[in-house]
Parts: sequence; C-alpha cells; structure tokens
Amino acid sequence: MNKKAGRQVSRIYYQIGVMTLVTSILWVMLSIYQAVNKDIDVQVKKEMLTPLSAELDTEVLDELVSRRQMKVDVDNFR
Amino acid sequence: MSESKQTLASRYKHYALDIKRYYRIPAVQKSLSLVLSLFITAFFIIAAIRPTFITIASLQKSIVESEKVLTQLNTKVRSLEQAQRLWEENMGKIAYVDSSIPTTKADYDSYIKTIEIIALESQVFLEGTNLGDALLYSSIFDPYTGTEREGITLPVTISVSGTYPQIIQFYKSLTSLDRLLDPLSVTLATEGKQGKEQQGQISMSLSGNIQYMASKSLLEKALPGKEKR
Repeated sequence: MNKKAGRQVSRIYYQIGVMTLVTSILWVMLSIYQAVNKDIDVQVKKEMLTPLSAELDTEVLDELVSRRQMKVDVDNFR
Repeated sequence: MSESKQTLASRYKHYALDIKRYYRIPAVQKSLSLVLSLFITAFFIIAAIRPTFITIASLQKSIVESEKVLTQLNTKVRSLEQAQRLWEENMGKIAYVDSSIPTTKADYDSYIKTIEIIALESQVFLEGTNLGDALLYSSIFDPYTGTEREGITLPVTISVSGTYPQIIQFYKSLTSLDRLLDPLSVTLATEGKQGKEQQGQISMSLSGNIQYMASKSLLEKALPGKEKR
C-alpha cells in the first residue's frame, strides 16, 4: 500500500527541475520588464507632432490696415 | 599517522555508502513523472509563454505610445482648425502684410517713387535717397520664391530740406506708410547740403531699415561680401 507507483529518481533531479522552473519564471518576468521599459518609436514624422501656435495678432493686422496705402504704378509713374 | 588515515578513509567509505544507501531509500526519491513535469513546464515557459508575454507587453507599450501620439495629433488638428478659421477671418488683411514687407521682390522702385510722392505732398526738397544693396533681377536663381525666405533688412537713408512743419509732415507721412520703416536716427541741421543757408530752412537726414522677404543664402551668392541681417 505504501509503495510508490512509477519509476523513482534521485532527489537531485527534482531539485534541478525546481531550479530550472524558478529560473525560467524569473527570465520571463525579466523579459516582460525589459519589453515594458523599451522605448518604442512610433512612425510619425516629427513635423507632424510639432506644436502649432494658432494665435494671430489681429491688432497688428488692424494697425497695418489703418496705415496709408500707396500703390505706385512704377511703369506709369512719370 | 597512517593508522589515523586509514581510520578516516574507512569512516569516509562508511558514510559514503550510507549516503548512497540513503538516496536509494524510496522515501527520499522523487517520482520521475514529477521531475519530467517540472522540466517540461520550464521548457514551455521559455519556449511558448515567454515570447507571448513579451509580445503582449510590447503591444501594450505600443498602444500607450500610440495614444500619446494620437493626443498630440488631435491637439495639432484642433490648432490647425483654429488657424484655418483665423486665416479665413483675416484673409482680406493678408495683402496688407505683403505690402508692409514684400514677399516676392525688394520693391525698390515703388518705395523710391513713394518717397518722391510724399516729398512732393509735403513740399520738401528731396536731396537724396540711398537704399542698400538688393538683387533686382537674376536669370540664374530667384531668391524671392521658395519656403526658406526670411526677413532681409534693407538700410535706407533719406535727406530732405524744407521748413520745420514740412519736415514734420514728411516724417509723419513716411512713418505711416504701409511699407514699414524702422527709423534708426534722425539728424536735423539748419544748413542745407548745398551750403545755402536760407531763412527758416532746415535739412533732415533720416536713417532706418525696411524689410523684404528673400532667401538669405541665395542673396549671399548674388551679393557676396554684403552682410545681410
């Protein structure tokens, strides 16, 4: 009744197996950590990501409009 | 001495045999299937689960980075929409910017004629007008086109003479023109350049800068040795 079923091996193989399993789990965790912290370059042109200032100084434009406009036709000036 | 060595050797042999016997005890041994399960599990973790998890982590990282880029792009799209709205609202005023700082030519002739007209209107005597170097025409290249244009400073010196109110009128007209003039110095003198001292007549020499848009690198080719600001 107490006799173990199946083939038995030395305890050292069991210990090596446990160490291999633990090492593989640690390896997986390390790989995931590296993958998470790896810099990923998204393929977008830098010009597209450059912030654009959509502000227009309309006061300056109004100042320009209020200035004296002189359109000189150089060819027919004389 | 040799006796003690023999004793030690026999003791070692005894214990070694004991350990061998100890490991042969079924209670100390482990099942082969258990050990194989451990190795197989480790193998699949390395061969299958690790690449899968790395791929998942990389994809998640990629999604996070893409969302950041998407946020930046959305911000830029909103800015572009606002810029387009501002452009449409102020489209009629853009022509005034072009007349203030010409973008397609130095507009040399027109500016000189304008000064002459103002001098006539103000009734001052235009003694001289001097503008800095500018490229009027080149059949080899055109610095007044392209996207690399920048503001080029053109120095201007104007000398007029007349009465004080006429000089003031001329100065006001000149500085309120659509072509922007940045006056740097104004010199007033009671004697004309011709050396004729007249009653109530003064002369004014004005130095300043006007601007136009052109490609600085192409202009430097055309006007070597002339430092453009």
